Amino acid sequence: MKLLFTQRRTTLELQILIAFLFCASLMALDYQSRLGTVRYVTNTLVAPLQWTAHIPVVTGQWFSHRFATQRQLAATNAKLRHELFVLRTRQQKFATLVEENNRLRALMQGSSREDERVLVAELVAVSADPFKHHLILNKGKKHGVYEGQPVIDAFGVMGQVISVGAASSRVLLISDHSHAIPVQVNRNGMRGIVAGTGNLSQLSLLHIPNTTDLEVGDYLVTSGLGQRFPADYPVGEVMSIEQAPGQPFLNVVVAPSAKLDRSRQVLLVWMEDDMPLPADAETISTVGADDAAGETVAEEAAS
Amino acid sequence: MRATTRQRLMIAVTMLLALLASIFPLPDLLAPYRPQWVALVVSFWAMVMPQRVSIGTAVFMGLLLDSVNGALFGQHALGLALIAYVIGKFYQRLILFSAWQQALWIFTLFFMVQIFYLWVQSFAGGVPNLWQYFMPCVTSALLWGLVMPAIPLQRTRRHN
Repeated sequence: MKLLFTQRRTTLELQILIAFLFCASLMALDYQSRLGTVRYVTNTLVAPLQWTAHIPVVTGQWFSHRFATQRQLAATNAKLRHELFVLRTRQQKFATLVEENNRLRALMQGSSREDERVLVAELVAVSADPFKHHLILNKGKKHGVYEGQPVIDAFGVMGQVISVGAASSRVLLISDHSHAIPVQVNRNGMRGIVAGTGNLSQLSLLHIPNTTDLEVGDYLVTSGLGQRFPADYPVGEVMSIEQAPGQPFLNVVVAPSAKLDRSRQVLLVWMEDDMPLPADAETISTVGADDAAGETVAEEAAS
Repeated sequence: MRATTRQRLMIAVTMLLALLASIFPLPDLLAPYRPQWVALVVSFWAMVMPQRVSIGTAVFMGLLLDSVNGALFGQHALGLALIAYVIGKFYQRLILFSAWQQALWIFTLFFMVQIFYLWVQSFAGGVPNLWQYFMPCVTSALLWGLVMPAIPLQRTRRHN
C-alpha cells in the first residue's frame, strides 16, 4: 500500500526533467542527422509492425487478384500487349538516337552518358500521418539501399530514400513539404527548383521571375544538379502560371509526372559508382533492346 | 503476483494494438481524423495504474511512434512524456471525474502537445497550416468520452 505523503511527486518531476533532457538531445542529434545507427536499428525493429499493419491491404489485393475474371485478365493482357508494342516501336528509334547522340557528344569532346542501375521495390506502407508524404519500401540495407537514393516509377521521379532499415526503407516523396528537387525546362533548358506543397497532385516551381519564358504545358525534367537525382527524368508538367501583382515571382503550379499515390512498384536507382550494388540489380540499357532485363521487370511486376 | 503479470500483459497488448492502429492504412478521407491511439492508451494507463505506467513507458512508446512515423527522433517521446507527467500529477482528481470531464482534459492536453509537435516540425521542415491538423485531438477526446463509461474500473482500489 502507498502512503499518502510519499516522495512520488518529486520523482515525477525528476522523471520529466530527465525525459525532457533525453528527448531534447535526441531531437537535436537527429536534426543534425547524427543518429544513423540508432535510426537503422529502430527502423529494423519496427518493420514487422509496418508489415502487420499492411496485411489487410495485401489480403484485399490477393483476393482481387485471385478472383479476377477471365474477361478482366484478357482486357489487361490486351492493353499490356498494345503498350509493349508501342514501346518496342519507340525503342527501335531510341537505340539509333542514343548512338547518334553519343557520336555527337564525342565530336564535341563531351563525355557520354552512363547507364543507371535500378532495382524494383514494392510498397509496404504509406505514411499514416496525412501531413507527411512518406512511403515504406520492402528493400533495405541488405539490398544495398542507401540514404539519399533516388526513387522513380514508370512515369517519373517519385522521391528519395531518407532512412534505411535492414530490409525496409523510407522514401520522402517530391510532394512533401520538406522536399525540393532541381529541374530544368525540357523546352529551353531553364533551370529551377520544384518544391513539394503537401498536396499529392501539386508541386510548385520556385523563384521564377515575371519575365521568364515559361508556358503552361512545359515539361520539367531533373537537371542532375545537386548530384542526388540522375539527369533527364521527368518530374512534372506546368499546370498553371499565375502572376500576382506586387510579387517578384510567378506562382507556378506543377503536376507531378509520377503516380505518387498509385504506384505499387517503384524503382530504386543507383547512380553512384562507389555504392555497392545488389546482385539482382538491372541496368537501364540505353543501347538496344535488352529483352532479359525487360522480362525480369515484368515478372516482378506480375508477382 | 499473478495479477501483476496479467496487468503487465494487458498493458503491453493494448500498447501494441495502439501502435498498430496508429499506422493502420486509412482511406484519405478519414486519415486526418485518426485518433492518437498511443497517446490515448498511455493516458488511460497513466490514470488507472500510475504505479505501472508513467513517464518512462511514455518515452519508450514515443520513440517507437517516432520511428514508425518517421518523425524527428524524440518528438513524440517528449509529447507523450508531457501527457504522462500531467496525468501522473493529477490522476487522483481525474479518476473521479465523469468521462466527459476527463475528455475535456484529454482534449486540452492533446491540443497543447499537438502545438508542440507543430513547433518541432517547423524546425524539421514544412508546416501544414490546416485546421485539419488539430482534428486528431477532437476525435481522441470524443473517443475517450464515448468509451470510458464502458470500461469497468475499480475506483475504490485504484492503487493496485
